Amino acid sequence: MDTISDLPDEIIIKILSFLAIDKAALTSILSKRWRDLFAFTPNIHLYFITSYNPSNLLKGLRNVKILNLYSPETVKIFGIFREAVPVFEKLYHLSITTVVEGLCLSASSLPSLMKKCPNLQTLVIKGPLCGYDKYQHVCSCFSGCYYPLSSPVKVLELAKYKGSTRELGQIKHFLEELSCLELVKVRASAKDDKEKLRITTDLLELPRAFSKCRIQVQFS
Amino acid sequence: MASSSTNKFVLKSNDDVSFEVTEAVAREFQVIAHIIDDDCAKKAIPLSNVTGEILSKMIEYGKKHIEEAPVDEEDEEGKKKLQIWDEEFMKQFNMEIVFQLILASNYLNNKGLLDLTCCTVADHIKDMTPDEVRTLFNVKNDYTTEEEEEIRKENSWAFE
Repeated sequence: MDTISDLPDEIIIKILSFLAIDKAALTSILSKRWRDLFAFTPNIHLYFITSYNPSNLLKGLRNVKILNLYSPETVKIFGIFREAVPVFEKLYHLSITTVVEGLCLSASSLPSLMKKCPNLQTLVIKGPLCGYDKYQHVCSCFSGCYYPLSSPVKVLELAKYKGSTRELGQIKHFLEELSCLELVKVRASAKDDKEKLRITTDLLELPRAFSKCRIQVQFS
Repeated sequence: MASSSTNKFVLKSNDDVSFEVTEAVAREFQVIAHIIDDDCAKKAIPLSNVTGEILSKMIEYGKKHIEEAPVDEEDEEGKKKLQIWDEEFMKQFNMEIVFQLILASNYLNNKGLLDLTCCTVADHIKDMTPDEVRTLFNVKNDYTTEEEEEIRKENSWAFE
């Protein structure tokens, strides 16, 4: 099977992109050519990082273009091991989950992660915006965060919005801090038309750092 | 101008097998779509990197994906049906054919088939030992023992 040794790098990278990251990383042992190929896989889904010290995993991800962090624990790892997090030059799409079952674990890891993403275009927050920390205090989530004003994020997507005052405060904060923002997509849930109207009006009346920034509200 | 469902083109493999296909099927392959758009497709379109055996399978895939295309983004049932067909379709091939399909779909630029075939290989190797993967990909281990040890250390989070 001669054709196989001639497979171009981009095809091997594509094949590896369908493997879980730890399985893909195992191929670094095959030969010198394969050593770093796994780290070029463009779209990485991290569910859980169980490793004791994931520094090398984090470094290995430096060429990623799309990063999906599915669990708050994983997002938190990026905060705890922030020294090991490389600059993600190519990353343009970041998806995170920070709150699960009302428990907020990780929003405070976001600012340091965002600093490492100089070319980020889209930020998606999958879970609810607000939760409680382990001491049952209402978490300060994103509103206590410092975002570098130079963050180039253009699109912000919020997947689960219920329209509480605290959530509205978070979005206000995003609008003030993310100066390149052009579009905020909000997926909201409401029990009746009256609530829909209130949620939509609240959102559309928010002040924006970038006057052209549009806000889209969609009810599910 | 004839519509894309009646307009026909002939695709010719590198071992001289010809296939007549509708324009819609031909357009499933980006490279061929460009040839058609550039109006260079008067006669048979020669494909120098694809054998007849592989081309016939690619056309079968292209046809199915035209005929059974999901109605829209929301058509979950349609997507599921096509996905099941894809899985069955791939079961008939050994790894050598899968690799040839990968190269051909890369060459003719059909993203769907390239993803499907690459995913099939990934699924095939996911539980293999490094030695088994080396054999499959015909990779020669050019590390020294010390270098190999170093790689293991560097990526120890994966080897644990």
